[in-house]
Amino acid sequence: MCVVQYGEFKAVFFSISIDQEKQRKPLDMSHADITDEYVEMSIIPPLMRDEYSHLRLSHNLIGDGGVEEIAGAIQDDKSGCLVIDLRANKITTVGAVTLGEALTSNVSVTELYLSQNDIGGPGAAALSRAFAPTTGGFSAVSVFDVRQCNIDDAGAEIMGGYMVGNTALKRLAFCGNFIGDDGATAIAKALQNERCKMRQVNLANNKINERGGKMLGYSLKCNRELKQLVMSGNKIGDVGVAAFAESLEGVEEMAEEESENPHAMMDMGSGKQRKKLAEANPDQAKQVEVTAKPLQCGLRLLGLAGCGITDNGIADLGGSLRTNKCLSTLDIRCNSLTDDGIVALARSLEENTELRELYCGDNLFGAAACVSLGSALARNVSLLTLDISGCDLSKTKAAESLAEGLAGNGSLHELNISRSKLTDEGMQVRSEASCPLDHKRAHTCVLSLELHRRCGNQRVPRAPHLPQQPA
Amino acid sequence: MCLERLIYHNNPLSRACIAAVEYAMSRERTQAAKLLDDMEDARLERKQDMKERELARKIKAAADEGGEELRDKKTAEVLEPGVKIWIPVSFGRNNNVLGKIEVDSATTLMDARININKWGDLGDEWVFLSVNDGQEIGEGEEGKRQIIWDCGRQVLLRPKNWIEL
Repeated sequence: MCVVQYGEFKAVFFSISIDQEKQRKPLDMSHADITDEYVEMSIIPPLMRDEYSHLRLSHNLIGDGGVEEIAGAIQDDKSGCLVIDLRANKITTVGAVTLGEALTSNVSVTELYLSQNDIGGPGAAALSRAFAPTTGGFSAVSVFDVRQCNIDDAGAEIMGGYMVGNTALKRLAFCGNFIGDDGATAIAKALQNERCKMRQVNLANNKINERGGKMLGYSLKCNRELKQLVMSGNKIGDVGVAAFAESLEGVEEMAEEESENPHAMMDMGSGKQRKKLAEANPDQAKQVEVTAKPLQCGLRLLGLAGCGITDNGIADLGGSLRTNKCLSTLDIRCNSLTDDGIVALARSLEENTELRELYCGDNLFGAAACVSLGSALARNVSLLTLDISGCDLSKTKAAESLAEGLAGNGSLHELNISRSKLTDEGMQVRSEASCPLDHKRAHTCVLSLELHRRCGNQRVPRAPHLPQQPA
Repeated sequence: MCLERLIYHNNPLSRACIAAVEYAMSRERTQAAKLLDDMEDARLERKQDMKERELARKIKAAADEGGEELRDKKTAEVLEPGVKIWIPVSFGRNNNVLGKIEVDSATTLMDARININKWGDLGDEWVFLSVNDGQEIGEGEEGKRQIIWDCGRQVLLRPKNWIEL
């Protein structure tokens, strides 16, 4: 009987593993006009010999035939390829179904990129079948990219159903498809599942309306894993945004044993509802106050650009931002926000200490909102990037308020005021006395002087293009 | 900590004012002056071009007796070949109109992009939005598509810098 020492076995085992790893190399043949025949003749043989760790074949002419060959090579883990990138090829539903079947018996592939192919709803559903724990899917895919693949609502609904209970998926990119409310609801259910480990979900530019937005918003109440969610280009409206606001505001934890099961929070209702309940029973309310502490979703990035949001929706969101301690990036560009909405948001910015990037450009607000933003800037200590492009800065008061806000702010790194009708008049100092740096050049702009001070310069340099002082 | 980046494209600022801002933002003199000169020259050239075009149109309308007939064609549902119309271009939202471009039935998206770029830098990268399905039109396809057919009578541009994951 041969006795093998553990130390020897370990050394031999790791040397073999490292040798194999060294032999495998990434294959990058993007933009190379590769056809199915080339895949079959030149790529499959080394893939079967397990020579490739990454298969990057994006922007080629690979059709279903080529995909069938690749599927055959990765089936049953014949190849240990980690990344398959087939973006912008000629793959249809047939190819996607074949690939999906192969993935059910593969545990090596961790990243799958299929965007800009015509795989459609059935193709995406067949692919996601590999992710389903209930149907025996063993797939370890953590990045699933199916942008612009003509996925319809029915396909997304099936896809969401298969994703329930999956623990491997970390990053989903579904943007540019035709996913509607039913599909969004199914994805929301997957997000609600306690085993869900998704960290990034991109659903931008789909056909999700208020109902789907509401479901996705509420799904975050019992999800602490999701960090980045992009919903831009969907008409979720104020109703959907209110749901997101409620999740961002957080659910008050009733008791320690309940906090261990975050799904119980869904049944308990929102913080506001529970406050009302507590008001009805004051004795119980005291007990709740003792043990209650806010439990918020861990979302760090929320993209709501072009979502048809009005002032009501943003008021809800602003209210939740007052107490939120997680969200660092908020994108609300291209909505219908007027002065009232931005004023409400600006007030919450005065108290918020977490938001780093705020993009609210291309909305309908003007001078009043800029005044509020200016005063908020003076008090805010966390904001690094502010985008107010496309707003109405034609009035001098708006530019002046903004400049005053900048004077009191020490954190802002980037400011976007493009397309904002900012005129020379808006930039110019109203009186010479307010220009402390160089009285001879009093005609220079107030904003530029403030920027100059912020950039660390002590004096305004003598510029040949600066306008002369009026007589 | 200080403001490192200021984006202020496409504002009606004079050259002097832009220069003041550039000076304020830069500790040392940069190539901004040359850039500003180019921008101002392009603006003047565009203004002159528009003036000439407007003058030619007026002369043609006065000389041509079928002016009204031409106007009718411009409002027709399907454009006849050779008939040109001015269509508004919006950025982000429908009512955020940046300006108008002249197109006919054969004008491709690539031609329209060239015309829009003549207005100057819009500050953000953008793509055309299809009026048929509401989706973005890839930049690779702009040479193959007609603006009237794919973007309709009001072209909507979508900023490309919406957050993507």
